[in-house]
Amino acid sequence: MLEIKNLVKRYGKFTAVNNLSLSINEGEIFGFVGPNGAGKTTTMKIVAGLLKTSSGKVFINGIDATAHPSKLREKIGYMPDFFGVYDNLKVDEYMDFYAGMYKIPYKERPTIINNLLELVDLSYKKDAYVDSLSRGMKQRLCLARSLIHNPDILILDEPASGLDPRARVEMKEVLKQLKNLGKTIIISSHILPELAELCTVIGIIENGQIVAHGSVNQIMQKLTQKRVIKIRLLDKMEELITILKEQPDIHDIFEKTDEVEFDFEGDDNRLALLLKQIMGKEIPIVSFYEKEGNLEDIFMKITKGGE
Amino acid sequence: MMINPVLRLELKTKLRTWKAPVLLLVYLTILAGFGSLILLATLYRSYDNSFDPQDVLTVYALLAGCQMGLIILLIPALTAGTISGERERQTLDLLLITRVSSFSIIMGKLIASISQIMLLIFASIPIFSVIFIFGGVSLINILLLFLYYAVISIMLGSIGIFCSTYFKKTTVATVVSYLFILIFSIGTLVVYFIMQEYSYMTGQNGLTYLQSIILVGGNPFLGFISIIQNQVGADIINYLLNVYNNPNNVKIELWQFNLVFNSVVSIIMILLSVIRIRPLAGKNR
Ligand SMILES: Nc1ncnc2c1ncn2[C@@H]1O[C@H](COP(=O)(O)OP(=O)(O)OP(=O)(O)O)[C@@H](O)[C@H]1O
Ligand SMILES: [Mg+2]
Repeated sequence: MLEIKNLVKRYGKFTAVNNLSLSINEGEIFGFVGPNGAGKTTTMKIVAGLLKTSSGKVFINGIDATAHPSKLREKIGYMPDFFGVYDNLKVDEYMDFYAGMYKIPYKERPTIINNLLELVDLSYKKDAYVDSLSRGMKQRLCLARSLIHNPDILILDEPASGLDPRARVEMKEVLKQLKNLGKTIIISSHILPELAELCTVIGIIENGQIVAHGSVNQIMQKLTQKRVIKIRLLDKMEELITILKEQPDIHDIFEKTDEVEFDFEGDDNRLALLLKQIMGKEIPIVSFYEKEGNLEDIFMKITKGGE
Repeated sequence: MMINPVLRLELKTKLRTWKAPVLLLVYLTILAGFGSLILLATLYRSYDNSFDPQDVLTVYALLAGCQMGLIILLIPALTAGTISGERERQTLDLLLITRVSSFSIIMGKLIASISQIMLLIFASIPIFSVIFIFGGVSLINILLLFLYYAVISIMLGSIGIFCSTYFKKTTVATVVSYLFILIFSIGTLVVYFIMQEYSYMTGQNGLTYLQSIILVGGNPFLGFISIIQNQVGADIINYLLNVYNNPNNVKIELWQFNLVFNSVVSIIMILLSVIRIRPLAGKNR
């Protein structure tokens, strides 16, 4: 669906995007994560057809987007990280204006606009002036605007930035609905956990390069060399410790009154075998689980900040 | 047929505010005030308190000149913020990614601004019609004058929009637009007089008519005078330019050259503006 090949973008001598390649399939929700200045906005603007590349190509449905930007305008919906609205314009007039910009016939507009305002939960603000809306509402309105021409691909640059927790949840709900509608979505953020539950694939970008790419779990596994396992038990602590100490792939056993925590280097098969062995000794286990890696920690670990 | 959405939006949002009627009111007040002043002045001057047809024509010329000045002052203010304003408001990208071409965006902005000026010009017709009552002004001349207003508005408007696309800040764009106008209207005259003087000093006959036309033919004030003078019976342009020093036998009148020149400038400015805002224009660097 979308393919970025060896993309380079230079601002003068500074290289903002450095030989970035990516491929995003239809229906995927691609999370684009990276610290400030990593090159997310630059990449997204290039895909949206707003910025020239220094070299490299972007293909959308096999069409070279850098060579035929106008052919792809109707396929792409774009929501920038910063945007403004016009004064003296009402919400439905705002939508109608952009409908006109996408050459949607007059008679089709009311239905489309009503549906979109419904989707982003702004129907009740239809007659309000856009500059009177709250930040969260403006953000949702801008999302509705990016959908006005029913694009296949949505490029959302930090759609949740600056929103309070409630507005974030609301935004996420809307995005989930879009996911169900089968849109291909590229969404950027500098907060990894924010994207984790929404995205099918995540790409981590730093200094203009993709440093990690894959599903949330894959990325976590790739990046955490060790897995932390936690076992809670009622009794027979010594027996458990003995078993654990026999294992070659277990280190740093940390013992508390009723639970044990340790680092584990094996794969899932090894983990299953370990559990079987422990159960064989009839140790009263209450719970046995892998501690969730802290996404924030992982993110900090890979993106060491500009060097 | 779909109306240019940019034009529609501009008109809708501009006419909605209090600024539009206030502008109209102020404009008409200035024009009417100025008109009555010169009318009174000419009345006062004549011995028997009656109108000399020649006086009516003077009033017409002065009033038309006042309108011309107002247009020149207003256009940069109306146009210099059109694109830079979109940039400052961070809405320009949202326009550029749509299916409407950069050319249509620029034209939408230009036509919207010109329409506002045209509205003022049409609203001034009643004031002018007071003069028509006294007669002496030909309809053709009025039409020509209004055509000239339109062409000058488009030319100055396209300069304003050009500045608006090249400068990020509206304030800078506005200042540069006024500078452009200053160069056009005063700068060309200064250069003209210096070169004329130089020509005489070096013992020549002064500039030829062709040279003069090329130097000051685009000057909006001279263009205006060239149109109005036939009516008033003055011969300012011929006096100013060396009409009789015409070895190339150029037949064109200054206002004719002016109209063509302004149209060409407008087209160039519009094209440069379009090139400037097109996001992917030119070769990939
Ligand atoms: N117009 C420009 N001229 C010069 N440098 C620029 C320009 N735009 C961006 N940059 C630089 O390119 C780099 C990448 O910027 P970009 O906006 O793509 O980062 P980002 O990942 O979106 O960051 P953020 O999380 O802050 O939005 C930054 O170092 C920035 O300073
Ligand atoms: Mg950004």
